[in-house]
Amino acid sequence: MENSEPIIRIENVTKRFGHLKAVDNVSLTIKTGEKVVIIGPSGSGKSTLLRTINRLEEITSGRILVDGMDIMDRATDINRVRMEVGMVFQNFNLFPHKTALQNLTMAPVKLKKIPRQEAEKNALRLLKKVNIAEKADVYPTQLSGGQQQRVAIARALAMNPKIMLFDEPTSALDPEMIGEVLDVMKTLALEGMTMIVVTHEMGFAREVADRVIFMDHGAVVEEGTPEHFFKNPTHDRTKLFLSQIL
Amino acid sequence: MTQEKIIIDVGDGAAIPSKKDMGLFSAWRISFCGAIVLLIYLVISRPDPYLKIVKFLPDGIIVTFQVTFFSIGLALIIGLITGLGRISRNRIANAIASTYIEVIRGIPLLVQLFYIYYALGRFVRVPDMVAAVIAMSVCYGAYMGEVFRAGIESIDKGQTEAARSLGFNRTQTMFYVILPQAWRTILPPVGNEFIALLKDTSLVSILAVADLLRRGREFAAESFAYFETYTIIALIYLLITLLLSKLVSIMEDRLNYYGKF
Amino acid sequence: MIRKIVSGLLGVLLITGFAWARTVVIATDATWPPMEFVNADKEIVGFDIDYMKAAAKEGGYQVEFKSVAWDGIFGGLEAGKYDAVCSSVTITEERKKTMDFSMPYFKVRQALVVPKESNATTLEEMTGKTVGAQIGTTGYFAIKEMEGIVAKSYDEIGLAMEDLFNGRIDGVVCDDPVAAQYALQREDYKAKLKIAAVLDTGDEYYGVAVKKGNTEVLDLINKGIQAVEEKGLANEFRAKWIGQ
Repeated sequence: MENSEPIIRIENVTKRFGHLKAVDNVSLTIKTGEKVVIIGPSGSGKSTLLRTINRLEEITSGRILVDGMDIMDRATDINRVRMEVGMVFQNFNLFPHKTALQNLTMAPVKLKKIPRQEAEKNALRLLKKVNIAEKADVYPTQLSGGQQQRVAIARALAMNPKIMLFDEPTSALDPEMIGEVLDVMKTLALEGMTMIVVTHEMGFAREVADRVIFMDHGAVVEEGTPEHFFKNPTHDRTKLFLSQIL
Repeated sequence: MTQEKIIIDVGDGAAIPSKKDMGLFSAWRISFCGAIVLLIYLVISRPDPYLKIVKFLPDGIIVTFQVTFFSIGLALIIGLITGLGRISRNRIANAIASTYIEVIRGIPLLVQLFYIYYALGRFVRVPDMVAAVIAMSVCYGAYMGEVFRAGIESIDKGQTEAARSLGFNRTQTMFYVILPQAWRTILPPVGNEFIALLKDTSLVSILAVADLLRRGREFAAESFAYFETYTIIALIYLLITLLLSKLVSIMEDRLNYYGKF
Repeated sequence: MIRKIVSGLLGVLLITGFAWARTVVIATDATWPPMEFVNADKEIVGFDIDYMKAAAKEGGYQVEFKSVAWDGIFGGLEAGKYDAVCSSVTITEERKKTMDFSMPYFKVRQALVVPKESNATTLEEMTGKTVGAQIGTTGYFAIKEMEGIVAKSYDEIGLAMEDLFNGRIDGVVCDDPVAAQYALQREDYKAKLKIAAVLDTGDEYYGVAVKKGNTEVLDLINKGIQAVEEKGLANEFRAKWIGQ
């Protein structure tokens, strides 16, 4: 929070799927180093909003600036933006035809033209960081869900991103594996990474978030610090949601 | 990640030997060994005409191999482009690919061969081998295009998203992430197409291409040893086809080395 | 009762009596103009056809023609699918081993057809070039024997001529009446093709082939040919189909 420059600006963003407004006129500013947790019932548009940030979903109207680049501008090279924005998926989406290590080195080698040796060294360091260095040469199918997700986080980090997006990273995991993934995310948070996390893990939100955003029906209903949010939420819908989930 | 392996079953070639089918009495082994034993027996027991026939054929076998090899290569490229065209969001590319498949699949290969060689021969002078390879690959490219499309579509959308989110563009995603995985789904039906293509190369003999069948026909037409000649021709085609199916099966094994997914 | 048997016998006699006008089924590869080919009315016509019809008339039997692809035509004879082959078949020692021939009824030589601009006047000058002929014909045997010529076999002589016309090959060898038909008669071809040489492979004689040992059919055919020759009808057919 030392640096209070906004790194992501979301201005009046709407995303329609046909008649459905998945995201309805949302505006948000996220500062460098900030950890934002987005919560809300399923179908509230929180994942869609997250996915608009690296243009996996194209917005219908509004404007999104990432690190000063307008991502909908034709002049913007979206692939450059994406190299700065790491993403972690609910279903891990590791490349099954590559080993854990190769999953990490592929993008840096092909896209940033980093020498293979250097990329591998960096990859090993990251695998160590997510506590899975011993599985470097193993294919994803031979890893547990928790292990796969940790490799997926390391894969995103291998591109040295400025921002990390997490799309329900623990929802597909068996309960006993959730902790190991959250621990990695907490470490990352402590290192000062800018993080936007869509999750149902309220403990994580309470412990890590600088700000919690509650979305429903595509709109931001309420936002605030975890203390405010979990102790005295103002909106009825927030209260209802929290009462159901906690 | 837990999606089931999709099997595209388009088979008109010899069966590709299954890995489970390792028994001594598998259909592949019986056919292969049987064909070899019969061939050797015939040649030794009646060198005239069998040995003469066998000696007459090698350059035809080479031509059959050449036509098969080049046609497979070119058909793969055409198939890939067609498959990509079919899934393209560009409407023109899509329409071209779809129309091409529709037209080619509606015309018998034999007619296509005649057409490319004799009908277009009035305007473009292509050597017979080139005409044969073009006709075979244009025809099989259409079939392979459909296989490629199905193979590419069988890959989970999450793979594309993961690659795109890392900064790979559409093309890089296709070549680094999607195709290497799709290849596993694609290979068995494509292998079937390889084998069917090999067998269909016998049709190029009508273009006066001196392939295995034409060499056989030349021998038979001169010696009148129809039974003997066509027996040998059939055995040789069978052997080549079985070898190719084995090769495809080995390639499948290779692709399976990183486990099921 | 007796009456029934008698009438039955009469009936049999009647039937066999009709059958006495034996029908000889003759196979021909009708892709060899002007000797045998299919005309615009989808009828098999040509010199051989007229000749065989005349021979049948003289010999007192019926003929029926069947169109069969050349490279399987002797296989079908062997298998008894028809009685005879009359399709510009040159009598050769090799062929005599597997089938019987009638007396010769026509003399031909092999001719080399080349593009107009070619200077070749003998087959020897075609060394290093590709020459086509119909599969299993004496023309093909001739080019295959020649050292240094790339021999190419076609299913039909017309396809070889088309390839020559399109410039894919350098020459075609076939019987001289056929060569004349393509290089001198046909409007589109004659502008581009010419007969370069009549080969010195010697005279060849056409005969009608029958299955080895089938003397019944052979006798009928020989009888017919004999009569046609005696009456000099062949000249009439030659004038009609071949001209010079």
